Amino acid sequence: MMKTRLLFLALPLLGFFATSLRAGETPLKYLAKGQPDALVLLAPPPVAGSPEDAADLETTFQAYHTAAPAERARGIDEINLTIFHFAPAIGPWFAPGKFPKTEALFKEVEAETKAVTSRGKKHWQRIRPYHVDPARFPNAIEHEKVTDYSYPSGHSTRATVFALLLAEMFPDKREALLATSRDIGWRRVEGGVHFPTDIYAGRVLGQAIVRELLANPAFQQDLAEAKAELAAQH
Amino acid sequence: MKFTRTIVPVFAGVLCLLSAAAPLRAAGPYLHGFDPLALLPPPPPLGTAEDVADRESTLRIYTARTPEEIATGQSEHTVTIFAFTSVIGPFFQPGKLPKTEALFAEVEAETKKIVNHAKNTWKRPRPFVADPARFAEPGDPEKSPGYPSGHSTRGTVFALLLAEIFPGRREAILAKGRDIGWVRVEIGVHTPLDIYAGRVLGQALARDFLRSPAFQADLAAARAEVAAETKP
Repeated sequence: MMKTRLLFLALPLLGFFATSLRAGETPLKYLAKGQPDALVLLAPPPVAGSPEDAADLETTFQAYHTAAPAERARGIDEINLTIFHFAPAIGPWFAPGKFPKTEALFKEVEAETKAVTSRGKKHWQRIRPYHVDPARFPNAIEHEKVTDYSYPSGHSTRATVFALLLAEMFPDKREALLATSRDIGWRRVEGGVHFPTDIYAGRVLGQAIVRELLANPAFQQDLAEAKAELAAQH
Repeated sequence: MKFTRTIVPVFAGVLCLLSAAAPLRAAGPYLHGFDPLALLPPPPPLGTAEDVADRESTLRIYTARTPEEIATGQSEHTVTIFAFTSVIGPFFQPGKLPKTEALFAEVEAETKKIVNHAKNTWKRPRPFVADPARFAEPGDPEKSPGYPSGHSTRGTVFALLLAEIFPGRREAILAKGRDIGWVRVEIGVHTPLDIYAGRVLGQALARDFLRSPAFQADLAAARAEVAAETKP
């Protein structure tokens, strides 16, 4: 009898722990849980099969079909995007292996950014161009399963976040950094793996993430240390 | 008897004219410190691959436009909440809902101010301005810059706020709000990107309007007015 009662007491507790484990959810280092919320911030993607959606697909096809080989090669190189893809805008000294604090900061930012985009992707479940119309995109630069969703673009979001944060470190390179992030996004369209609206949504989301990060004291602290590290090395 | 039959409608008409001469004022401003430049990314610079693709897309859509689309686009030059009558119901007409009209007049004025601030910052040329030869007959050749689209922004704001008054029609109202934007691409006065920017901006504006206590008070009055009008 006693044991049964204990079990009744323990069950809800177990449920509670299981839920918190399932939801994941150690708090993030910088971003508040669920902030920014892609579902609040972004407009829904064009309705599948609507004239807008058809236009978005057609623009993707034209970009894919006319992309220069060099752009395509860069798109492939950027599949595993890091801050060092921004080296051309910063300088050749900005290379991996020399800035542990900076790299750790951006690794955390990348993980937190992915959580934000993945909420949007899972909610809208937009199918990528090369799955919508495989015949017209036989050589898309990536080929993931159909549940690897399109809207918003994770690359465009990350590129925007990286560019805006790097601009905090290198303010005089701001315009070149932002141009680089726009191009990284657009090459995903040329590669046949994203629609233009996915890229645009990523930029909106990226800006909002940076706004939240810069408002966070823990982030500001780590950003200051990364800045000092870069200044000492360079 | 004859006299009464004539004088009553005349008297009512004079009252109507008087109330039109002194329109209701909403309790705005509803918004404080809204910054569109923090929200929207800058448009792609003129002549970049992305900008060219956006304009080529516009040209394909413009070239395929139908007479009906041209007519809709031109009729929505001045877009008001009564562009939504087709999805709300035939009772929804100008001149009968003064509080509702005053609310949306204030929303429109505040929205336009914010849109114009963004437009005049980025100064993105409209399709028919950047390429007059290929967009020879723009449906509504406005002078202001293209990004973000004011019609798309207002279409989105109006739709989201009307959906607060008519929750049962939400999906149809939101679809009409999207169409108010898209028809601007069909008539060659905006690119798709201008339209998406307007939707993002419109969503954020609607969210901020709904957070304003002054707006909520006026919204409650508009709801009551609509409820009285639609009572069977």
